[in-house]
Amino acid sequence: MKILVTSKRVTDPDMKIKVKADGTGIVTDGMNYKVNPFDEIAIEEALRIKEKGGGAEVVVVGIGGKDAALEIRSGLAMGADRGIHVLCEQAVDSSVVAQILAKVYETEKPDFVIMGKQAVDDDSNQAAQMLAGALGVPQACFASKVELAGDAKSARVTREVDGGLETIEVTFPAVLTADLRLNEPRYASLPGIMKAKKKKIDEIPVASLGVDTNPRVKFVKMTEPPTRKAGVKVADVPTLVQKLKEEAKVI
Amino acid sequence: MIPTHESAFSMVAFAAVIAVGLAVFARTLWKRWEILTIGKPEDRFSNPGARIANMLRVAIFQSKILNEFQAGIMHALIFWGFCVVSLNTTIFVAEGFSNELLPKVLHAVGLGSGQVMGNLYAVSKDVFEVLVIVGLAIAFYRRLVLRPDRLTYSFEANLILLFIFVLMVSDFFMFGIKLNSRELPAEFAKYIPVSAAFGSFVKGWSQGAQHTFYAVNFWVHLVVLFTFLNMLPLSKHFHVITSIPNTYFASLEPKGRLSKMNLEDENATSFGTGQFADLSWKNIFDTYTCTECGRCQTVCPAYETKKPLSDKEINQNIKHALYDHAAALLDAKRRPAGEAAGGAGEGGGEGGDGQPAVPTLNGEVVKEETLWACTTCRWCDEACPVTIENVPRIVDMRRYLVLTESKFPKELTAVFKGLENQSNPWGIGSNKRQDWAEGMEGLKWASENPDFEYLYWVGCAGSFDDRNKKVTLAMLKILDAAGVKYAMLGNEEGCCGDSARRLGNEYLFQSLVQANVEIFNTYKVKKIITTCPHGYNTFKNEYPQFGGNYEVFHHTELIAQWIGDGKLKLANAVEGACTYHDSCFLGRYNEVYEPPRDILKAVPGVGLKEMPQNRMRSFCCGAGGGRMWLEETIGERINRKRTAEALSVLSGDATLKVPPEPPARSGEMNRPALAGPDGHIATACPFCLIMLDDGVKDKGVEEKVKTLDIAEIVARSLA
Repeated sequence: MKILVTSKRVTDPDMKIKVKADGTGIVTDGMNYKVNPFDEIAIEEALRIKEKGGGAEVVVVGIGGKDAALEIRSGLAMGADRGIHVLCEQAVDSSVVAQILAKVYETEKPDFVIMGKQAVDDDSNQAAQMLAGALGVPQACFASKVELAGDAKSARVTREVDGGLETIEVTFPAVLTADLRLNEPRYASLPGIMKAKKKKIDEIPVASLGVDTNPRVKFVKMTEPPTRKAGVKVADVPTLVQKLKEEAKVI
Repeated sequence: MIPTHESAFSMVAFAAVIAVGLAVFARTLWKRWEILTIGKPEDRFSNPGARIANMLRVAIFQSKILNEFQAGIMHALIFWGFCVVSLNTTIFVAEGFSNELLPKVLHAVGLGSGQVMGNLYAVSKDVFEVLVIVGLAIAFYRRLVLRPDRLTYSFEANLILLFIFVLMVSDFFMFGIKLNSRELPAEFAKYIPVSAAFGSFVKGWSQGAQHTFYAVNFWVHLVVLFTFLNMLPLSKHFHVITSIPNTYFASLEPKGRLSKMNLEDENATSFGTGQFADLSWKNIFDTYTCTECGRCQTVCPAYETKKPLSDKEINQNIKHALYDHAAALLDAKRRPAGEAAGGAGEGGGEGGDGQPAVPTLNGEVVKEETLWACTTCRWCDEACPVTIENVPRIVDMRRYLVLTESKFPKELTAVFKGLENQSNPWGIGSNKRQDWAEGMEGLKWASENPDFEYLYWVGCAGSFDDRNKKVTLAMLKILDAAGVKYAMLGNEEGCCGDSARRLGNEYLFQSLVQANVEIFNTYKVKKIITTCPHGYNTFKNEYPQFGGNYEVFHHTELIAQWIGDGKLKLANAVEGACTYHDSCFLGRYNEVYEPPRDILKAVPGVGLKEMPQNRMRSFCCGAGGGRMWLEETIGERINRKRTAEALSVLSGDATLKVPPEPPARSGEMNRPALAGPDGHIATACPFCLIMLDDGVKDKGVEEKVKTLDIAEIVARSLA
């Protein structure tokens, strides 16, 4: 069995984000990057499926400039077997990502793909769905539980939907995405980190894939959220109640 | 008189007892030696001068043992008695073989009867044998009547005491009868008055009866002596043999320095102490030396709050597991590399040849919850009278869990990732580190003032924790008042790495150190001030392992100095009773006990009252060793226990008996009555501050008692 997982390099969401004065994006000076946390959950799930037996191969794929190799390497340190780095310096949107992944899928022919449900930088939440569409395979997104069938030809996936859980069955090949509660990703062990240094990452220039890398989404403008107004201190409870009634109109 | 000189049979029996006694003893020692070879090599032979000094201080002069008065005197009397009497025992054995050569030898070395040294020795022998009996009486009183919690009670322990008593008494009788029979000249009685007194008990007996009684004492003495000798390596009394060398082999490193791991070896598959074979020979020797005295437990914050950690037990459990599985472990060790799959044949699997399976050291012999309970407060290592190194071994075992197995309490994942990505344990964005300074004018950042004398290291707590940000502001006021040239790194600062290292994440620690050393090099930092004893300790003692050598000051050291030389003028009174809580990493680790106290005494209005557990005996706040970042789910909360002690001192009742824990977080009901003015708990560590502040709030007395960093007290007092 072969499982393809993704590892996107994202700006660290814990950092203070500043929008460039001209609104063309965020200030990246001194910015920290990390693996998209949802991708980490996807990698963890693939590893758990592998460790349950059956001898699965877990392949991590990442798209981006030279630096994106670091995030692929973290997936290898967690225990994935090898990496694929689609070298691509320019910015890509979900559609381009889906097309690139579709090409990788065609060469790798994995049993299924698991991705993070969305990336925490642009929060688009559509690459996986587009990939499933491009490949014409079933999708099971927002998984909070994945159980493989005995023959490993299908999976029963519990999805977190509004107001409850939905359990569906998908036959492989398929595209799955990981939601927050699917698992808690492991912390790479030191032997894992050491081994990862020797694991192979195939570099594929995006040009060689024959994909139209022009984004379909046009970036218009980015602005900072409005800053919160300062609060008011009130003298006593009656004043508070009065203000809540008359000014905030909540009671 | 001596039986062996009177019959050939006796001589043969005498020689046989000694030969068998020594042979069995040698065999046991050989087995113990073999077990040592299971351990990894470690250099404990360098710098013999310092080692001998340690040995003299700790072993011969019993410095650590005497830290506790009653048990100290008990042991010192028996130990010094042993040292003195050992020559007498040698003479006893030699004399059994021949009484012709011996007097000549003794005379030749100046110890013959009639010679000054000989007479002096005779007096010493008698006096010290009495002192040994006094020591034994205290020991029996402790074991049979007082029964302190920290001791392990066994028949064998009492039997050994009884043996020593028999050895002393039989020796007195033998000398007494020798005087009675004129074998020793009558005038010699004045040198051995106690023996003479024993002799006088039997003086009325017939010569024949005395003769027989001598023989009885002789044989009892001989058999007990060699039984005793053979019991030593089989029991906790092995310490009689190993503790003197153990003090010689004690670590000469600074107390606050953990070993630097080699993480470069790309073929290594295991890091830290997981299996028995990962222990060093010194770790094993430590377990031989553990005397079950239990001093390590007495103020262990984990043990005292009912957590599953006792260093005494760790030592004993490791030792017994080694004894029980020595053959299998040695076999695994001797097998050529590659064959020893599964880590020295350990861990649940088949033992082979019907032998019981060897348990896993890390996990089965020492439980994970035990390892995570430790606050690395170092009381155990300070208290141990035979310099057993408990804390480094616990960290080595944590290293295995974290680095090799990636197994740790789950709340640590966020801490490690926070340190890794944002260089602070809270995981707050690294570019938010200097947000505390937002809107403040004229702050001195290193990037704008590169020619500073002191680097003021604000630290993670001082930058990110709301309570400790106030300490940072107080510190700035003090630095400005003192008029020194200082600067801060702001967002260029990272975590010092102390928590990572003590939680066992050496890989993370080393990467944090590397980043900081680079920044320090950029600004050519020479002097560092920290308000955090954890940063203080690691910069001072551990960064030199990575090429970072700085003059490191804790803020209390400099403030005390600046008050002393008039740079700081204290004018405003900070009224109220005040007790100072010693931080482990400032106190026990680095022996900075007085500067904080000097400062408090210099502040007008402060009435300093000591807690019963102060200075070296300070009771940890519960946050050390990375415990700051772990949930405390077992037993009582450490910070509450310490807070209760502080509150009892502030309310005028300075006893160790702390008020009972309140059933829940409640205010009014459990409010201890605080007499007099409002009190202060002074701290010198951001983590102690958080822990004790929480403790005070839990007790519902935060309106009456304020927990303050010493910098805050000084800042309030500044003119």
